Parts: sequence; structure tokens; C-alpha cells
Amino acid sequence: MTEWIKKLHIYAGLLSFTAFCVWGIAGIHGTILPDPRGRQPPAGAVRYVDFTAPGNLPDQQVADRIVETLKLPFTRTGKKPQRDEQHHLSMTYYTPNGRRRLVLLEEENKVRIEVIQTSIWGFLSNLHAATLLHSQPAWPLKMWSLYNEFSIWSVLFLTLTGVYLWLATRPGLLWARYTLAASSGVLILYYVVVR
Amino acid sequence: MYRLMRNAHLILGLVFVLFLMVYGVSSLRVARRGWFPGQPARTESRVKVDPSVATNGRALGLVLMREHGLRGDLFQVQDTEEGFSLNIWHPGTNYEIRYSRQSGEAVIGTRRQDFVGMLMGLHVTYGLWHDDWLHNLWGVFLLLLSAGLFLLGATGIYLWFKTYEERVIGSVLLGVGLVYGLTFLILTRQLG
Repeated sequence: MTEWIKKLHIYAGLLSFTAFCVWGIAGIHGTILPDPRGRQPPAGAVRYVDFTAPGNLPDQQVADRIVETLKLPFTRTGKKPQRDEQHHLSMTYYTPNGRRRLVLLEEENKVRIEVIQTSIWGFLSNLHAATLLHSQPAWPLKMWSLYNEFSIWSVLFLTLTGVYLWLATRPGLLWARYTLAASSGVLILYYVVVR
Repeated sequence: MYRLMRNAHLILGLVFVLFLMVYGVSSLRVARRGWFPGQPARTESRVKVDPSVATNGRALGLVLMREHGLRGDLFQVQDTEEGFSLNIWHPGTNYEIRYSRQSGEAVIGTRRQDFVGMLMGLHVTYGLWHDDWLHNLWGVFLLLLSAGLFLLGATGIYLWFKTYEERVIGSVLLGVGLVYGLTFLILTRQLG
């Protein structure tokens, strides 16, 4: 039994290693980020494409038509459009690679596409949170989400089997007991104080 | 060396075991929202704050923290027709505050999450820039846990590699995880 659990512990850890690295990077990235209240969003790259809005369609259908025409990654129809301060129809998509904003300039028959590309660290940070809860709009992201979700189960499995393996093989280690007691104490105390 | 690595793996695991459970269970809540139907409990209270003290949203927030026991980060401070509104958040609890200059009264709506919601609140707390030092302390825990994940991984890989009978199947699994994970990371990034 213990031998099999040890095998599964090793296998689960090896399979999920890549996800754990991404999670570790996301945690470090989140820690070193400056205060978001003082952070200015970087200027995005802007380009324009021709688009004439049919005059007989409501906003939602025009928005869907824009998405269908442009076929930008991570965008899909059905997103509720907004009106910006100049009353332009606009849609904002938050993708793993950054923010994309589409603005319909009806008088000019154009769509302005603003792309704010996130850094590689921000990208990994975004991906660490990807799950299958929301149907992901791009298949590579869906495949990553599958792996990420497997790794969530894996970390729970590794945690429980890790404790089991310790108790099954070296239960008498005093320093291990003290370590667990101390770390648990710190977390429980923190929980109680914050709660 | 093997003994050292084995002990290091164990001690790291035991230091972070509950922290990993916090992140693991809260991640499950994200991934399987329907399994955790709990809704936050909402209560409302009212307190009087002199308009000469509550000159703006931030000043009001500080008064509520200092004199009425609220704690956390101030955000969404906005002017309203009556006065201003703001939120004070700490893991598991969000205070939605509306203040009327005319009546000098602050209405405090308190949303308190259940246990798993509280874990979720801890999960999304990061950084060292918070008003509340407890949030910054969690930021330190997160940094240590993140570094700990790498160390757990590195020591785990060493221990696996020294387990000779698991080398072949382990190499395949490690390779599959790396190739699969990196492939879809790169493809997602390449989509632009």
C-alpha cells in the first residue's frame, strides 16, 4: 500500500511539475508587483480596420458582427457591448495575453483595435488561474486549463499522500512533528486574527 | 546527500502543507464553483461620523478603521450625490460603505464569506503594498510558498532520480508534463 502511494506521489508530482513552476512564478510575480493603485496601464498598440456597421441592426448584433469579421484570438460573440464617453460602441476583452479593446467608429467606418500586451510574467500569472469553469475561447487555452485543473487535484493529492508517507515511514521524527505544529499554528493564528 | 534531500523535502512539505491546502481547496472552488454553493452572509449597521472629520472617502475609511474596528484595504472610493462610497476589504470580508454628509451617517454593509470563501480571499491576497500589514504578511507567506514550490519540486525530482526503478516511467511522465504544458503555453502566447 505505502509503496503504491509513494509511486503515485512521484508520478503525480512529475506530471504536474510544469504547472507548479507556473504557479511559483505567478506567486513571485504577484509579490513583487507594485501597488496597483499607483500603476498606470501601459499604452496599447492601436490599429484600424475597415468596418461598416449595418444600419438596421441593434448594438449587440453589430458587436457580434465585428467579432465575426475580425476573428481576433480570444474574442467571441455574445459579449455585451458598452458605449464609451464619445458614445462609440466598444467591447473589452481580457485575454491571457493582455487587454484588447474594440471601438466602433461608425462615422469613419472603422474599428479601432487597442492591444495592451502583457509581459511574459503577467501571461504566466494569467494562465495560472485558467480552469475549465469558463468555456475557454481558444483550444490551446482549453488544453492548458485541462492540465492546470489536473494539477489542482494533483497538489491536493500530493499534500495528503505526502503526510501519509511521512506518518507511514518516519512517524517518530520529532523535528518533523514540531515543524508541522509550528507551521499549522502560524496559519491557524493568522486565520483567526484575520477572520 | 540523499538523506539531506529527503529531509529537506519532508520539512518543506510540512512547513507548507496547510498553505498548499488553502490554495488547493480555493482553486477547486474556482474550478468547480457549483460544488461550493455558499453565499456570503450580509449584515448592515449604521454609525454616525461627524462630517468635519469625514471630509472625504479616505478620511471616513480611516475613521471607521480607527474607531469602529473595520480593517483592510480601502478601494473604490467614489463621490456620490449624498457624500461618498467606499469599500474596505480583507480576506473573507467586504465592507460596502455609503456615507451621507447631510445626516452624517455611514451605512456599512458587511459581506462575510463562509470558510471556503475565506480561503478564496486568502488565495487572491498578494503583494506587499497593502494598507493592512496583515495583508502584507500574507504576501510574505505567498512569496515563501512560491519559492517553496520550486524547492519542493527540485528536491522531489532529485529523490525520484535516485529511485532507480522509477527512472524510466518517471522520465516519461516528466517529459509528457513538460511537453504538454509548454506546448500549450507557447501556443496560447502565440495566438497574440
